[in-house]
Amino acid sequence: MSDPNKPKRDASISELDEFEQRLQARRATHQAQNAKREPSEAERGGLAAGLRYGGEFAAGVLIGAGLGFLVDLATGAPPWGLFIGAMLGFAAGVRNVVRAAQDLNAKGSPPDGA
Amino acid sequence: MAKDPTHQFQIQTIGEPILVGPLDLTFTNSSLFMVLASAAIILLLMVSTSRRALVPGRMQSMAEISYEFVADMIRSTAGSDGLRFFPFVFTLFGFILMANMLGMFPYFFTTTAQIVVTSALALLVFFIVIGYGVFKNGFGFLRVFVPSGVPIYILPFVVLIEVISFISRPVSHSVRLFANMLAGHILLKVFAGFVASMAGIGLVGVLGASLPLFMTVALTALEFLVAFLQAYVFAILTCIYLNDALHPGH
Repeated sequence: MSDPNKPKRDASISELDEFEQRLQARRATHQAQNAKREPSEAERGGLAAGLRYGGEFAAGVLIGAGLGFLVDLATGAPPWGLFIGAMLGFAAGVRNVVRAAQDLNAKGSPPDGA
Repeated sequence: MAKDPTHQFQIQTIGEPILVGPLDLTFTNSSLFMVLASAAIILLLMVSTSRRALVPGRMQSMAEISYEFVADMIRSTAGSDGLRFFPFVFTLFGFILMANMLGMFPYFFTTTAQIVVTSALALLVFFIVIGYGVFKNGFGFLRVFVPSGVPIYILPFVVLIEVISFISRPVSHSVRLFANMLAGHILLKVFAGFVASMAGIGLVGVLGASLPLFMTVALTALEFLVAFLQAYVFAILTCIYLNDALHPGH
């Protein structure tokens, strides 16, 4: 009596296994497609990346020059504070841009979607 | 007046002016929409977590997905110990996302297109990073200004540059959100204004107006993407800065 049942159960289990395999394969390709479709900030047109670089650079220059100007006010010296501050600000701006570029490059394939 | 693309950003007072000493605490349309954004995100999360089912419904899934999203963001940028800042980052993300999304409604005010709002948020992050960094690491926090592997003779310059770079963070942090929202809304208004003025000059104009109309529709979709993306960018930059407070010296 149990004989006709047993092979049937085995069949259903192997069917489940097979289904599981197909499901895994589908999910893998689906996830790969999803990961490809998510636009990271770097890919989303040059505008966003350009705005970011510009903002980072300008922020560095502005803050550097501003700090230099404050040093000028505090010491009452000729415009050397502003001058040196702006120079250092340019360097800081470049540093910001380099950091932003590293960030964008690292995020080329975001680990968990954009 | 109706076609002035920057008219939408004008602050209008609501009710009586409230002056507390030197402070002007008058309620404005900007404050109103900040209150609305906070209320919307709180209400949404309270409703969606009120019936906690094992198999989540739509609202509950949305709340869980946003939780996972922010938690993953913190884990991947600031590590697992960054999760103590989860409430802070989630609040920032939720508030900015809601404020951006509310701004997408016609005739609604976009609070995140006000530099004073975004810079207040960015400065909050800035001072939390400094405060927590000093609280946790003491003087070790100063290592954040000293990159490893720099020869000793140029170290003073590098440290100066790093300090300036550090101070410039809230500037770029706030300006990015502000500029994106401002530029997007002005662009939308300008193209929508083209539709109205072209359609006013007769049949040819009506035909021609379909081009900016199409552009407006496309830009609206793009603005929804930007509204989400800028909230995400603000939150992830917050995580990156918090990472410095948690683990200075890279």
